[in-house]
Amino acid sequence: MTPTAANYGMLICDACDLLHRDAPGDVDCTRCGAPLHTRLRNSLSRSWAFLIAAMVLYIPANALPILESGSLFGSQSDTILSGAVFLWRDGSWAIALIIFVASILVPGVKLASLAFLLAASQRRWAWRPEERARLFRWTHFIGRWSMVDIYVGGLLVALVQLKPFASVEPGPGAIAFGAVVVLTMMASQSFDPRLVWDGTDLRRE
Amino acid sequence: MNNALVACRECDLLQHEVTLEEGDSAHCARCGAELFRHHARGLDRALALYLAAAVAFVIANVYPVMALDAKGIETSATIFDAAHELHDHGMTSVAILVFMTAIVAPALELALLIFMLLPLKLGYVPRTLPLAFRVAHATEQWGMLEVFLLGSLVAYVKLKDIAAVGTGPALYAMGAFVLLLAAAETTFEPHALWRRAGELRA
Repeated sequence: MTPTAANYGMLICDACDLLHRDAPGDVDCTRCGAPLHTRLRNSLSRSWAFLIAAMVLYIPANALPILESGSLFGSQSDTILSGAVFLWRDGSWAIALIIFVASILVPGVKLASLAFLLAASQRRWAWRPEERARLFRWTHFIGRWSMVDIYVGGLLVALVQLKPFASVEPGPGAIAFGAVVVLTMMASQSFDPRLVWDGTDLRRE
Repeated sequence: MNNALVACRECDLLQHEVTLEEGDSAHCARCGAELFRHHARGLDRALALYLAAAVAFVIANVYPVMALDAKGIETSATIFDAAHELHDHGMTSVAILVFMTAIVAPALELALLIFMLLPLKLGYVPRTLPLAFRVAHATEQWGMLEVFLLGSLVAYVKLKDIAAVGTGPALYAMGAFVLLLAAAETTFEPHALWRRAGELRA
């Protein structure tokens, strides 16, 4: 039997890391007061719920315009992708690349890796737990960087109000996009990384 | 090595606590997650860094991030303006998201860390230490001022081609804040905070 806290009837506090021996269920940490549990409650179903909602909203986030810029010569709506393509053609490769990676690649990869991690834990796979643990740590860390386009939008809307010459308005895509970032962060927060190892622990018993 | 047990918060493996040299960190033998670090006077250093970050945070919020001058019309924007203007243009939900992640969450994290570390430095344990700790722990991942800094740089480059754009004091203050907060977060060790609180209560 793998020497895990759960196998020895011990509980570790998720907030302050204090190890509790012989703790009954449903009690609070004696040091910081956070609720104790062997594994996050309903981790997989909660995480799936946030993830599926994020997947649905990923479509309007990419299909709807995120910014609408107007000038004397007419107006132009840009989705995230068309904005990145415009910057690329314009010669701002570095910025186009940042936007493409942070706004399209990172959320897409995050949705796919979380779906894989959830499915693997649900089926209690024992396959490459080290790599899966590393994938989760990395997925959890990169998600926040997707917010960059939301902040760029906010600053442009605040700065470019030179009517009638030029103005920038936020588009409906921004709502869906912001929701995708928040929902994927909540999905990864709901996932208990210890579930990655539970499949391997059981097999060795 | 001593006989105290620790469990990895990421894979649940039980292992013996090891005694560390200055500046070293202990990692889980199975999954590689960091278990704890050791810095002599780490809490003092973390407090100094959080206080410095608080100064940078105030400057970052008071002054404009950048200003635009096009055809004689001047506009400037603070971090709050980026949220407020989104609200004025009908995007209240996005405005709240920006306000919470770029202003409220970093401010709350800083305030709570200083609220916990300053009394411990002065020699007493704040009554609401457990609550402050739990809220700070939950807030940590929602503060995204470092992402806002990247967003500001992207916006600057985008605007540079179409108008005269100037950087504001808040841009540099944000840079300082991000560096100071990162240094504070690597120095701050929650285990040391609880050890210090235990010593003071004893």
